[in-house]
Amino acid sequence: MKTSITKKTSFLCNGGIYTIISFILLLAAWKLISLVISSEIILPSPENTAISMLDLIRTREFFIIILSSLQRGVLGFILSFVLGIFFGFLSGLSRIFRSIFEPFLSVIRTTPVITIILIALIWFKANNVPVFASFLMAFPIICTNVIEGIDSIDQKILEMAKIFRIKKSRVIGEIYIPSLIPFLTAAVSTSFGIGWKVVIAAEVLSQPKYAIGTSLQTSKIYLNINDVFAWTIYAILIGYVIERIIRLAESKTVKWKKKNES
Amino acid sequence: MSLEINNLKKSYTGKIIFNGINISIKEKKINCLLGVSGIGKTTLLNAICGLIPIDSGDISDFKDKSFSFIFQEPRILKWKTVYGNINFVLKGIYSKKEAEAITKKYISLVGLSEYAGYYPYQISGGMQQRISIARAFAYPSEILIMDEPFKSLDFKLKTNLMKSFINLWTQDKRTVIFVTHDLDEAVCLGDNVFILDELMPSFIKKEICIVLPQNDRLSDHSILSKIKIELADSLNI
Repeated sequence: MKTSITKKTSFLCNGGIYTIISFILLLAAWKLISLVISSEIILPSPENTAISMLDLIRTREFFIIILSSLQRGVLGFILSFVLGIFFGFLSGLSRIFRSIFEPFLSVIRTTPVITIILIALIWFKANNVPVFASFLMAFPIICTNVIEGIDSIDQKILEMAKIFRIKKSRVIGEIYIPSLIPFLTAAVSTSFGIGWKVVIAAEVLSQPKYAIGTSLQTSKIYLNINDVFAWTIYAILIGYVIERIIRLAESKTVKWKKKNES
Repeated sequence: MSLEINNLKKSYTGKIIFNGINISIKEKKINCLLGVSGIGKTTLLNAICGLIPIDSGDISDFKDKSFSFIFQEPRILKWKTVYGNINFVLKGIYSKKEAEAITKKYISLVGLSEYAGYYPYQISGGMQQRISIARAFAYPSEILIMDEPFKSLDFKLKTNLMKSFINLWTQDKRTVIFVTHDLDEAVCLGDNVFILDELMPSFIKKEICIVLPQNDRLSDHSILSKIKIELADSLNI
């Protein structure tokens, strides 16, 4: 009860009002520049973009398109999350495994995104290219964070558990996992953000039947710049909402951290 | 009754730390090992607990004993509450109900009842150290080891924690091995004080027995200073 009240007031007093100001400034700047340029093909005005957004939402395919893209993003994310934790744990606990595995991780991390997408185009069906690409982007992030998290576990705490003869399974459940949670939540929000962008980029090239990327590309071909902007704003909104959900989930799970630390 | 450390030898990266040390730890007493920093006190404790191997000697009296520890730092889990931290070491030893009762008992004995649901970040460092004292007593150990738990605390806090500790110990007398570099702490708490020579490899230079109950010492400073003078005399300080 108490925390929810303080949170609401702090939203209005601190960050909230400035977020609104910055949003208004952004819209004003956009409007101003579009007036100066005065070409809807180069930069559509905010109100025309809003109209396009409303038109899009009324079409039959709109929700299928959004959900299809979202599904690819979530699938790629789940794959990287599960495998990232698994391989992260192995490398965190075994020096030998880490030495063998780390070069692979570096290669994946430094390969240009576009190469990954082009190769995926050859290997996979149109629908799976974005999943694969976002998986390869997010996997190293999660993996690295898990490794860092395991490295950061306090040896003195582990020694304490050993002296009090705590069972190995409980040491994992009650020391390793809670220590990893801050690292994991950080990894989850970054990797989902990056994965989401890569999904849309890959869709532009792989052209699945229903996809935000496909719609962007089609709109561009027909010089329908309003729609390019409208789809982009939808993509941003979805990314933003998901990030808020992840943050909310984090604050619900991590009760033991000072509120101003996160 | 006593537990013997016989002719213990230990060297570490080529340096001889103990070259045959003998200590006779008295059961159900507070055995204080007093020595300068870096003389190998922690090494000795780790050897007693079986955390590190010894080169030679006999410490078999400690072999099958169970230990609880009060460390220099609280070493508590920051994602568990005061209650959760103490309960943590009792799970799997007692039934759920028993563990709950024991946890509550020790929380109240160190005066933290109203903070039972608090996380470590919400309470002071002194309170955190009291959790670690309560945890050590709540755990059913035969030997309680204290590795400089009052180091780097201010005088008032130190006195308070010592009182909490003595309060618990007088109700539940276990074999305590208490390591410190501080003469005052040794005089306040020790039934037996073993003084380690300040040169490596160290040995027990002197053993002193203090018969006065700890509660009297903590409440009357004049008695304390009298013992200290006697002790200093025998140490030729």
